[in-house]
Amino acid sequence: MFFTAIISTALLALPLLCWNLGFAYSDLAGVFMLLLGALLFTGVFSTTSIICRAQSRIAFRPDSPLAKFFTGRLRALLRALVFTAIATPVLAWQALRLDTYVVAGLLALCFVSSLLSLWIEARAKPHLAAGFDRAAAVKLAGVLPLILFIPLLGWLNWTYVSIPVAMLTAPLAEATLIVLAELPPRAGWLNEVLAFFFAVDAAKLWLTFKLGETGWAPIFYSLDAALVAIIVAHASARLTSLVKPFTQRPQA
Amino acid sequence: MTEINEANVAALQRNRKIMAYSFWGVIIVLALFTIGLSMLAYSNSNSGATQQTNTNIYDPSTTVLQRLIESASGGALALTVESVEPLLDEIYAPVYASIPAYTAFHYSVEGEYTEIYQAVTSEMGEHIEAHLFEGFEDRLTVAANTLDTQFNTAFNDQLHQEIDASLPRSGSPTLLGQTTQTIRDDLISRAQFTAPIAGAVMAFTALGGAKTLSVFIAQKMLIKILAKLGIKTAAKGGAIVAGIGTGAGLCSWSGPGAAVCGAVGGLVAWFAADAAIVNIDQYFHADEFEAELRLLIDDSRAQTRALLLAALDVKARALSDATTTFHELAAPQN
Repeated sequence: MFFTAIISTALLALPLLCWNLGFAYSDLAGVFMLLLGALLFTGVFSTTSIICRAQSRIAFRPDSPLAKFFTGRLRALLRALVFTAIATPVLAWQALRLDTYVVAGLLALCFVSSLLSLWIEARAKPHLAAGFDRAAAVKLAGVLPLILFIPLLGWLNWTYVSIPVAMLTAPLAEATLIVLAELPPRAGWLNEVLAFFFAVDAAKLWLTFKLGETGWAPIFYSLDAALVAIIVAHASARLTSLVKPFTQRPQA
Repeated sequence: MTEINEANVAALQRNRKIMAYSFWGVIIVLALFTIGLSMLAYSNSNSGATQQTNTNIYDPSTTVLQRLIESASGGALALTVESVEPLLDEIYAPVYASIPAYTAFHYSVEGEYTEIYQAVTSEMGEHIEAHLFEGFEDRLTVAANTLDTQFNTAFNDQLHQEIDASLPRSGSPTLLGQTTQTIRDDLISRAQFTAPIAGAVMAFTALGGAKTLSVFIAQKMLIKILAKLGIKTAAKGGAIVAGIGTGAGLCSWSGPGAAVCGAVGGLVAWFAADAAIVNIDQYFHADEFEAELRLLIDDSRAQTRALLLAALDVKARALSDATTTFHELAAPQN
């Protein structure tokens, strides 16, 4: 169980680390994000399709001609696509901006989420039908650790993540330029895509400064940390179901 | 039938093996890439400089470059700070020059009543602003723009000098790498809009500017005016009583109008006493008042100096790319 959780964490962390290290040199680092996207898509599709197919089988009569078309695969495909389309760029953006302490927090979340999904799946097996045990485990493991990790990651971001001092006095347009200056000085579609996320980040930092010492500032500042935590927890749980067949011997 | 099943099982097992090899292969390749890229990043950050010997192109490491930028920013700050005093002289010359005129106004009957009226209606700050600080904000804005230009020029020169001085001197001539050139040029263009002094001055004027400084002086002066009013009212009491008596005596021929005539006499005596007291007061205290006003303007000048120096410091720090955290910002400053 621990080994599976470690491999699952590595499968999420290694492409992001390669992307982080490689992006300074070349846009080819985007290959690592494509790989991660493919893994996430497969992970989400494999767990979602079982439920979607079961739901379609219940919803449509076996003799209905529509049953041939609405098998549930399309719904699973769309869900997997949406999750991948949101998760991949968000993770790519965050991987370029993360602080060591936040990375440690996210790795811990990955590991806990993965471990929890395996534990819940094992506990649910005697009670739920095949496939549903895994689906339930993935859903719960993607949510339960967040109760602890969202406040923790918010605190880590607030306490340890460095912000350019120039942001203190900069107007919004300049704040955006300061944050965009962190992108490598080269043209390319990756920079164009990431520029959007960096601009959003700049707007967030700028607004946090404007909110000053009000109680809303830490909450507003932690919104993206919460989004990343949700994505990481879900991704980790989904990847675990992908990793499990390779790390655990099939039970007789 | 059994042969078909066996063939299926064998195919399934073969597929599983291929999948397993692919899966572990991906993990191993990713791990190898991570190690390789980490080593590359580590060697770049620790070498101090990445020198491509075959083309003699030099790019300082980010650590070295950060140090050069900080040094250039510090140098530009030191050079620009020297201009603050001469600029303050220019800003405050008209303010100091208007002190004698304001003193003369203060020691006049008109000035006295105007000040009392303004003390009551809280308009004294505006009056001081109009008399002492006329055109102050325009001069301050011009000075801020001058400081911005001087800082940007100094930063440009210092950054070029710092980077040029860091080029390796041994062997054949070395050219600066494209990356460093881009960063340098980007920083220089950024300096123009990073935390401008004019922006800080604009914020200051938006929050009150000369009015704030005038109100500060008005508050100090108000105490003196009220004290002066107390002394004068006591001194004038006798003169007015005498004026009413004299007026009533001189107007005794007018019968029932004697009381009105006496009141007019009292009023004349009031203003006559005022003029006399103001002149005596001016003779004895004008120099003292002028000196005190000068001290108050010195205080205002010190506040303006602090504003300009703080704005320069923020600009220098912003350019040197220092970082902070929200936690540090929220912590109480010592």
